[in-house]
Amino acid sequence: MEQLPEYLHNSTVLLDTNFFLHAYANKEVYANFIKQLKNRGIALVSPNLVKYEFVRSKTIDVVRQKESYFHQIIDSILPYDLSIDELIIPTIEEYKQKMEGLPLTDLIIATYLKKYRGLYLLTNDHSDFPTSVFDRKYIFNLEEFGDKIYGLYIYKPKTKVFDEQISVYDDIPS
Amino acid sequence: MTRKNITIKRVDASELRPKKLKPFSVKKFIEAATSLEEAIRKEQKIYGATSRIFA
Repeated sequence: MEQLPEYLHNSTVLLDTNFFLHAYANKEVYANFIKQLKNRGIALVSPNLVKYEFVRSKTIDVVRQKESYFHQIIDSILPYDLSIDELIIPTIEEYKQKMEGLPLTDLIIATYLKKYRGLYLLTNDHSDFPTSVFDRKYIFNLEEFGDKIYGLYIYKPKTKVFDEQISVYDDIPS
Repeated sequence: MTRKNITIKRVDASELRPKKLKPFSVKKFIEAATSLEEAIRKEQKIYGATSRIFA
């Protein structure tokens, strides 16, 4: 892997489920990669939803080992709160026709990126994070996996202001 | 049912960072990944399918 750009040092990066799946199957390569990220002060975060998607398995042993492995990599779990909940519908609206086929986990990840300024997503899934909504700030591959191209994505706000004006239903239909 | 405008405050991602990053050991990570791989192989022997299909 080339040197990560300076602006990524000490940043916060969200990992998706694919990352965890690839990492245990290619452990030496990913161990060194994760070490490089941590050495640059990059905090690795993920929501519980990614954890659940990753750990679900048929045997308790695998579930527990996956959970422990997940927590070895992650520095903190992203909180799911009311503000994330309120941003989900606006995120769907922003995706427009790109919404088709978007997995639920990726929708929630997209919502986190919308909520947090300066939160990057590291993924090799380039179809579910369209450049109409996100900036693809950096792409690279791990030397040993030339075919696996990772991108670092960040939410592209529609306006320069940091806060976003959105419309939501003020009452819930009974 | 009507829609109202609200302002969602975008929060800086630095607030998500723990004060201190977790120490990361390459050796421990490889051990955990190896042990996970073995557990998955056992699971495949029992059930005949990969865990990957779930994700």
